[in-house]
Amino acid sequence: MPGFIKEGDKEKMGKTAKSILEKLHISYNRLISILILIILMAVASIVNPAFLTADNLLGILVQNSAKGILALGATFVLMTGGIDLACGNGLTMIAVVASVIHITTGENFLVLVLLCLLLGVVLGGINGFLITRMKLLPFVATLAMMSVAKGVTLFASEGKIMFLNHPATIYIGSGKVFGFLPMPVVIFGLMSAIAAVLLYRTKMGVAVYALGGNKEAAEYSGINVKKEETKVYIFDGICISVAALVTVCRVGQISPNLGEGAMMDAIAAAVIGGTSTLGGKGTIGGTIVGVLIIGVIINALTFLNVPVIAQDAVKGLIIIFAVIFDALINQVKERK
Amino acid sequence: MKLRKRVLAVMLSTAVAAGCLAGAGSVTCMAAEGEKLTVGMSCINLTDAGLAAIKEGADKAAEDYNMELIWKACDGDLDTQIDVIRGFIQQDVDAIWIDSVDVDGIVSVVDEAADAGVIVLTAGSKVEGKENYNLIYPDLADAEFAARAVGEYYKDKEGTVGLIVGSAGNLVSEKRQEGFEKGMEAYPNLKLVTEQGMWDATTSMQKAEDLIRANSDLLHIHVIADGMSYGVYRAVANAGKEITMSSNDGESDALKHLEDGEYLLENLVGNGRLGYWGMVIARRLADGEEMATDQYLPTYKVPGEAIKPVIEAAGLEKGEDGYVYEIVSLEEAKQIGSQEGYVKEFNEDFVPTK
Repeated sequence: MPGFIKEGDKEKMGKTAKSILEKLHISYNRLISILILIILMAVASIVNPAFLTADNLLGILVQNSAKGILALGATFVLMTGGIDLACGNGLTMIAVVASVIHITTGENFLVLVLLCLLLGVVLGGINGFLITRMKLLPFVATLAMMSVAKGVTLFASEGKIMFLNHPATIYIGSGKVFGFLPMPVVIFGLMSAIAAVLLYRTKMGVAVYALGGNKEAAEYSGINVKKEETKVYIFDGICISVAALVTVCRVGQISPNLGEGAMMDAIAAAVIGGTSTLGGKGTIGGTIVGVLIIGVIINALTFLNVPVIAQDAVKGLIIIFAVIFDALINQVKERK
Repeated sequence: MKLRKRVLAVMLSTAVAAGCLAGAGSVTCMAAEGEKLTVGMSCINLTDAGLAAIKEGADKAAEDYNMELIWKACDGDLDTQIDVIRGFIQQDVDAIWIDSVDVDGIVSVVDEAADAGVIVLTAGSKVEGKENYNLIYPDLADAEFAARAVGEYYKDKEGTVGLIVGSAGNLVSEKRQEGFEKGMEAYPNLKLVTEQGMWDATTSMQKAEDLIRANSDLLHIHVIADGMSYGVYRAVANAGKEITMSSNDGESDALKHLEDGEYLLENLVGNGRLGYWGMVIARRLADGEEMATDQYLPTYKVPGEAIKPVIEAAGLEKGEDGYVYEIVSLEEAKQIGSQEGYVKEFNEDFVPTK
C-alpha cells in the first residue's frame, strides 16, 4: 500500500534491519549468496520434489560437514592474504597416518583423535614456519607441503585400503545426537562457533582482518604479524585434522585418494561465501553459505539427473555464475 | 645395445630352460638365473587402491622372475606420461608397462619406445601402436554381463538401477559404463541413472546417498570398482533400505561382502593377478617367447547365492557370438584371486595367447 509506511519509518526500519544484519555479521554480499542458494534450491525442488525434504537437506549438511570444516580454515588463511593448497592432501595424510597407527595399535579411539589433532597442529605449524620465518610465499610453501603430504600418505598406506570398525568411529560418522542431529553436523556447528568466536571476539580475529588489509600497517599498529599468521595456519591445521577425523569416521575406511578434490571445494566455498582471495574480507556465515551452495549444486546434479559427462562443466558454470552475479551486485552497490 | 641385451637374454633363457628341463625345472629357477630385467612402470596414479594391488602383484612377479620395476605416476596427465615413457627409454630399460591415460595420445611415444628396442606392454585398453603388446581383459563384456544379471534378477519389478562409474574421460570407466548401459537396454522396466564416484570412496558414498534420496524406487547399485564400492556399501547400510549391490574387481574385501549376501555379484579380474600376469608376459617376451600382440586375461563371474539360480535359468553364461562367461564359486574366486592362486595360474605351464 503506497504511503502506508512513512518516509521516516522506512529509514528507521532500514537502520534496524541494517543493525540486525551487522549484529549477525551478514553483509549485502551474504544476502546475495543466500539468494543464490535459495534460487538453486527452488529450481532443484521444482524439477524433483524429493529435493526439498528434511531427509535430503540434512543429508546435504552431513555430506558437506568435513568440507565445511576445511573451508573454515581456508577462510582464515585467505583472509590473511594467504592460501593453503595442502589442505586437501593434508586431510588425506592426517586421516591415513592417524588411522594406520590407530588400527595397528589396537584401535584406541582416543589415540585416533589425539593423533589427528597433533598432526594437524604440526602441519599448520610447519606451514606457518615456512611462510613467516622462512619468508616463502604461501602458494609455494603449501604447494611443497601438498607434495610432502601426498608422499607421506602413500608411504603410510602403501596404497592399500584399511577399514575402521571401532564403535566410536561409527558413532562420529553416522551417529545422531538427540536421535535426529547427525554427529558430523554437530561437529561442523561446533567448529563454526569456535571459528566465529576467534574471528569476532578475540585479538586473533582483529589481527586476521588487519593482516589481510595491510601487513605493514598491521605491524606498525603493534600486531605481532609472524606470531598471528602462524596461529592462523595452526588453526587451519586443526580444521584440517577435524575434517580428516569426520571423513574417516563417515566413510569407515582409509585409502590414499580419500578426500580427493576437497581442497578445491573448500577454497571455492570460502570464495563463493565472499572471502577475498586478496585478504582482509570474509565471514564465517558467508563460508557456511558457500559450503551449502557447493553442496546443493553437487546434490542437485543428481536430483536433476544431469548426465555424468556434463556434471563437472555444469558445476563449474554454476560457480562462475554465482561469483559473477555477486560481483555485479557489488559493482551496482558501489556505483550507488 | 638393446639387440645385444635381447640376444643375450634369449641365450641365457635357453640355457636356463635346458637346465630346468634336465630335472631342476621351476619358474623360480628359470627366473633367478635369467638376466635381470628392468621394467619401467608408467601408471595413471599410485593412490588408487586398484593400482596398489596391481603393484603388489607385479612386485611379486619381479621377485619371482628376477626383474627390477621402476614405478612412475603421471597423475592422469598425458604430457607427463609421455615424458615418463621418454625418460624410461633414456634410462635404457628392457620393457615398459603402460597404464594409458589416453590410448590415442600415447601411440607416438609407444612407437618411439618400440623403435628403440624396448618391449612395450599396454595394459587395460588396446593401443594401436606398431609393435606393442596389449594386455587386455574384457571390461565391456563383463559389465554387460553384470547388467544382464541384475536385469534378470529384477525383470519382474519396475524401478531404478544406479551405476557408479569412475570418472568421465577415463577409458576403463567409460568401457565399464558402456557395457553396463548396453546390458541394461534389454530391461525397459529398469531406469538407469549414472553418477561419478571419481575412484574415491568418499565421493562414491556421497553419490550413492544422493541416488538413494533422489530415487525412492532404487533397487540396485552397480559400482565399477571395488575401491569405490565400500563407500557405496556404507551409504546403503546407513539408509537401511533393501537395495542390492554388485561390483567389479573381485578383491578379498568385496568377496567378503558377497559371502555375507551384501553384494549380489562380483566380477573377478584380480588386480594383483593382473599385475603378476603382465610381468610374466614381459619376462616371457624378453626371454624370446613368441606370442600374439593381443594378450587376453580371463576374468570370472562370481555370483552370490541369491542371483546364481537367476543366471542359470536365463542362460547368461552364454554371451553374444558364442562368447562364454566363466562362472566360478566364491571359494574358487578366493583361490584364483589370492597371491598363491595367481602365482600358480601363471607358472611355467601358463600359455599366453598365441
